[in-house]
Amino acid sequence: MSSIVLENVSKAYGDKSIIKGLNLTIESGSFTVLVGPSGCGKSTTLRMIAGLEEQTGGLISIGGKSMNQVEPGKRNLAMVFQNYALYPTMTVEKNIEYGLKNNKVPKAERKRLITEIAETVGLTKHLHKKPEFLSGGERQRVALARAMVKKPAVFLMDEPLSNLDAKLRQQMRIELIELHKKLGATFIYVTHDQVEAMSMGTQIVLMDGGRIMQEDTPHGIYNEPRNMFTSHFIGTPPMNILEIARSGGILSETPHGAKFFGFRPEKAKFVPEPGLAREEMLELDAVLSSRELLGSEVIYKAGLAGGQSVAVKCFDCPERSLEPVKLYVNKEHLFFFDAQEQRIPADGSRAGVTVPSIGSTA
Amino acid sequence: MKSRSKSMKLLPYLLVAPAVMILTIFYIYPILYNVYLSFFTWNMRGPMKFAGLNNYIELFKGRDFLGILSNTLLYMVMDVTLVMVLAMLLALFLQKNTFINRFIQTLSFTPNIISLISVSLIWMWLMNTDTGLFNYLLSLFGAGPVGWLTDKQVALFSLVLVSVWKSVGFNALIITSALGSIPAHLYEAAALDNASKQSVFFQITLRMISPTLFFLILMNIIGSFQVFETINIMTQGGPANATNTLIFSIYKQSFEYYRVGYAAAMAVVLMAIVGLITIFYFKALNRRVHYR
Repeated sequence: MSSIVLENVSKAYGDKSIIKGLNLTIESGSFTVLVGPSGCGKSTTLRMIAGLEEQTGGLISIGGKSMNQVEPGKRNLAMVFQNYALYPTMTVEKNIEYGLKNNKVPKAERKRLITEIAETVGLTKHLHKKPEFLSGGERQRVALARAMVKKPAVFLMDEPLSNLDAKLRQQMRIELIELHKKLGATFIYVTHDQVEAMSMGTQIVLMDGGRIMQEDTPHGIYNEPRNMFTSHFIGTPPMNILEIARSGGILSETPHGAKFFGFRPEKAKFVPEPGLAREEMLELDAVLSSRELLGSEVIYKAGLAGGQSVAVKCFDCPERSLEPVKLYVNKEHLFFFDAQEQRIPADGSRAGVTVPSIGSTA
Repeated sequence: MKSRSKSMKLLPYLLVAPAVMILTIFYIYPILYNVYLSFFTWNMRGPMKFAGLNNYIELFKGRDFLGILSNTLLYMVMDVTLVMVLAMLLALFLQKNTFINRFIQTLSFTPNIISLISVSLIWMWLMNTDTGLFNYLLSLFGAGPVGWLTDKQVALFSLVLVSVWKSVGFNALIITSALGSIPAHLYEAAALDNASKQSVFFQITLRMISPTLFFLILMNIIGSFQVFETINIMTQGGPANATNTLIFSIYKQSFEYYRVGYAAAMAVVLMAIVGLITIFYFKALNRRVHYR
């Protein structure tokens, strides 16, 4: 009932085009994450949904109703801003109450809602303080409470965790996932952090240069990237992408039109997978050049003969000295891309992969 | 070691000494001397004669003084109210950064750099009952003439008009910069909170710039008590004492009638009024001001 549809939406500032012909459907009740590098248009998209920016062209509708002429306050949505945007002159209580007051909620009802919400987010003892006397995490909660108290159908969040320290951020991630489950509302969450996107989203919309590069579940976006941008953006370290022409003929057969191939760092092994025939593996001669210890995993950087380099990630493996090694990659785990950096479905074993639809990438 | 720590103890006093000396010579001593003078009868030449509270008694018994006091307060209220309201409106209008707005901002600030003497002379001509521009313009509509500076009912207001004209631009400039420092995301949050324009203005805009307004109002109050040039040039306190204020009266009594003790007593009263208003103002409003 509160699905959000963007049809051919574009946005330009003067003659600078930010968003070009965006088509996107956000399912009701989903936790959709808009992710991408800075300047990709994700925030602008969110702000257009909120009504804080007017689209240059196209249609935005929420729950089947066109929002083009509807003011932000009447769209039945709430927004959590990156810097929280709390009203500094008002106490926590007044901050939460302001939206209710404007929506003409009776006083007794307001009191009840505020008490309830303060209890939920653990702000009861801070209700009469001004935001400046709260810590970052507490301000974050006020911002959330201010959004939640209006019981909107849609929550918009613009990098709400980026001002918190790492530990608190992780905690808030989990709380937001739980909150989403509890409220059942539609969440649209903007971030540049792929970890946030992967860990929280039920649906990920990856954007670049004002276009959608891929729209998928976290699983799909990681395992079935549709193009080199996606494969590169998602994953730490990103997928190893090598130019076929510079790889010295290590691949006996490549799909028609392939210009690049790639594999995830964790798919490269130092020993061949047992029970795998030689022709089912890609064998690379490499020299390990650096090593990052990250606790349970180790990431190596390895130089290849043609001057290209790859990352190798292995879990629970003994430390290796930096020396020449052989790397083995199961050919099943190879991805091929054409000259336009679009994914080429490898062969019959990769059925289910489709060529990117024109609508979401063009 | 011991002598060193002793000299270290003296150092702070040494550092504030110049400032304290200047304050003492130019502020504290004159104030105390003024209070001292108010208990004497003196004509600046002859011997000073102790008068006890006579100056004060004469002050409060005299009919003129209450009129002067009410002129002063009326001028203050009209001046501060008009300046603040108009400056606020102008500042809100000037927020958009267009060519016209920049032009108007410059224009409205200009009076502030002109000397009050010139201002007074020009407005005196504009407001002249028989030959002034204002009455000429009014006559085109068949109205007037208004005795801008000669009508008892109007003269004080005319002086307020000059003061407002001179200071609105400056006040608007300060308010504009305060408005500009309000983060845009607050307005966005308010938009999402379905806030009406009115509510945004009173709940967010006004409260965010309250420290600036607080400061400007205080400055304008104090400034309005000190009005002198315009009165001295344009009306000389007339007609029939209608524009006679405390400061002008103090000047007249001491430097024209040589009633130094009487003028000093008036100055003490003025100081008390300004002090009381300031204290009251801080007590009443300061807690409602939001400081970042």
